[in-house]
Amino acid sequence: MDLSLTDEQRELYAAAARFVRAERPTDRSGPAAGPGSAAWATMAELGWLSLCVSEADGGAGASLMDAGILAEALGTGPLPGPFLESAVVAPHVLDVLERTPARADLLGDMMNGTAVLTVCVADALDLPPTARGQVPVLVDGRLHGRVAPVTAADHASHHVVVADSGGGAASVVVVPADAAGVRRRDVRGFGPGLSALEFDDVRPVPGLLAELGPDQVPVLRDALIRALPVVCAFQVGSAQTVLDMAVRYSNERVQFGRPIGSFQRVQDHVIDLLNGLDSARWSTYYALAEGSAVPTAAYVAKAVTSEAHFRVCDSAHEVHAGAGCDVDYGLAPHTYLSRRAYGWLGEPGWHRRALIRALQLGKGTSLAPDDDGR
Amino acid sequence: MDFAVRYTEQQTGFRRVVRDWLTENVPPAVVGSDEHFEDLATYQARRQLGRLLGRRGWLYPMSPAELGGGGLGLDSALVISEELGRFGLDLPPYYDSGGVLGSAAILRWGSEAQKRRLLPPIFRGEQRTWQLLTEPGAGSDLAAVSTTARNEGDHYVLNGQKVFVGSLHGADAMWTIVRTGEPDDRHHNLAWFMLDARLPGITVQPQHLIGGIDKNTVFLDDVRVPTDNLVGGENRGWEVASTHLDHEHGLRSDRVLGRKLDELWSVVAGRARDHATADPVMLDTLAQLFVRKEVVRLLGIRNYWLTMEGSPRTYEGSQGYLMEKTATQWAARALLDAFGPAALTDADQHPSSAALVVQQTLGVLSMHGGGTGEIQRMLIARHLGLGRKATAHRPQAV
Repeated sequence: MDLSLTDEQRELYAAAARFVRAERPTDRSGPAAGPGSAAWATMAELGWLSLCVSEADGGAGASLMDAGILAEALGTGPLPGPFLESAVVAPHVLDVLERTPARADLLGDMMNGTAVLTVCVADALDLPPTARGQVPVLVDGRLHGRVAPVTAADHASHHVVVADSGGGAASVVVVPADAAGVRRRDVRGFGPGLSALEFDDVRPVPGLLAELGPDQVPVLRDALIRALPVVCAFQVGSAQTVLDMAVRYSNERVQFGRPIGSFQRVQDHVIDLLNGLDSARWSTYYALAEGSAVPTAAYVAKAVTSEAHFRVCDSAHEVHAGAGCDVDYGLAPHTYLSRRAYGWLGEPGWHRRALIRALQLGKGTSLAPDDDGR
Repeated sequence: MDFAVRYTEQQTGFRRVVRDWLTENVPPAVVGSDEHFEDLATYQARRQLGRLLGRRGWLYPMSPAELGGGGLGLDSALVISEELGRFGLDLPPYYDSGGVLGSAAILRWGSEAQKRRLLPPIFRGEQRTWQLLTEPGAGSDLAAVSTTARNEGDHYVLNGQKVFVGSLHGADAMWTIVRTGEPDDRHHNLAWFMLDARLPGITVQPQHLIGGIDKNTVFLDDVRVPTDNLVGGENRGWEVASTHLDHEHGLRSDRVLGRKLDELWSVVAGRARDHATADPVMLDTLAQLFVRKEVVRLLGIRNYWLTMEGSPRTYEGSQGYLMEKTATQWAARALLDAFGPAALTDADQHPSSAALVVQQTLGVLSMHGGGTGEIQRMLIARHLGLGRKATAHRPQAV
């Protein structure tokens, strides 16, 4: 047993935390570290966009833990922009595509910062997508339909879309953001940077298509689940900053002639926040360390982290009251993130259902993740 | 980062030795028996096992060998504890928190002569020790105890009442904190004594708790205690007690890898499979139980690792303890949600039944023993430095 970080991981964390402090917008201007920005170029130069790409594909092939440590540090901002979508989740999704030159080019461009990828997987991991959002369909090789909300689409050069191919089959396609028939619009929602995408008879990029029959769909789901702990680590970083803010504010803010942190009711909010943070942190570290060796670990991590991050922000808002609601104060980006990330790649209930199947708890459940025991 | 406890070849060999020895020496009567409800003969079988373990230094494996302990490391202690766990037994295999906590205080504060006299009987399993802390008027505010000790030369004379003490079948020794100084001189007016349980003036009266658990009220009426049983000196009792209170609030090495919720989970999962339930609400409740026990387990591993590393800890002990308490409380209701009224009795004779019934008791009691949830929260708040500016010159509440 050794729960310490290596020297390299410590250095990576420190460098990324310094970087994010410099890049974090202090006003409401929104994402800064987007493509074309100096920050994004720096991230590419430092190799941070290559961590989740295998060595065979020209990436760093870093361990999940290394990727998680970087994500945690960037989450402390939180770093605005498409890091999680483009550099973490998209490479995992592209894992299911054939190794074509087009795929190699796209990954190469993503790693050098010239291509930015969004990931459109509706609002959960229900595959084939049936669902609750409008899900794009692939008919005769053409993409139709709408998907919303999509994060980071305003930065994207390409959209990686999971589409319903009918009959229990799913497809992964890539479409350029400026392709004919692709329309993106900003949507008013809880927080900045949310888009709706419409695909009207769009022709995907040739050589960037995976058609997955019903028996292959689990491969895609497993690829997404492998990315989960890194997403959780980003949330853990955010929750750490929220704790620091709440502790500082509770000691500085004076009401009734005393710092509010001397009141037990305020203390309880901070303690709940701390307990949520540490629950998320250690379930995430466990999932990063074990990877697919412990299949339940990623489900537990996302179930715990989504819920904890949401409630951590709630607790911090209780501590800060009005001050925390002012978008210039700095708590709002974390709150927006906690809500966006809550159901991204599966809300806690989805992951508990996955646990029930993995643990074979219910009637008719089995270890096969696609055995629908619901 | 590596979460697995890895054993050297030597430790694996040690595990085999321990397992073989336990297989030969654990009395069948204590396997699967619940200590809270068992008869005197079964208790005596536990004590005999304790003496046998004590002779090998396995009863208090990490305590100094020259004082009757094992002189072993935490990793070896863990092996012994895990192997006893296979028989459903803790280490020590009988209720002896007075020995665990009291010995930690004596090791830190006792004179050499006191260590040589007071510790070997604990470490060798020759004595079972109760702790006498809580009083009717002093629970969370333990420093407000009103039991007194009057100095009469070579003896102190103790008078007062202690509650929520011990368990069934008595004890051989007791320790307590009592007031030796002025009532208003908080934290500087206490003393810590070890007592022979047979001293005249000690009366033990059973105190029955919810779920059929038995504790005791102990009355001290003009109990004459030799001066050399005062540990740490007059009016230093709070400092001595702080040693074991920290210990109790989550630093105990035998708790950091606490198995209680893991054990509960394993029987609950078996029950869910045997009953082949399809109800989605029930299954979600069980999934939540799994998630919560995983969090408690992982925080326990973190605390274990901090202990192994000798890293300074601040809030982590109290946090782990608080989260285990709240998960235990929550689990009691979750089991009723999942399994209905059947979770209240062992009538269906399923292997999980006894654990489900006990969980209802633990769900109530676990929040209070060893410092309430609120006390753990106060300790966490203090470690985080919350409200520090205003409280810096205030008296400490605990």
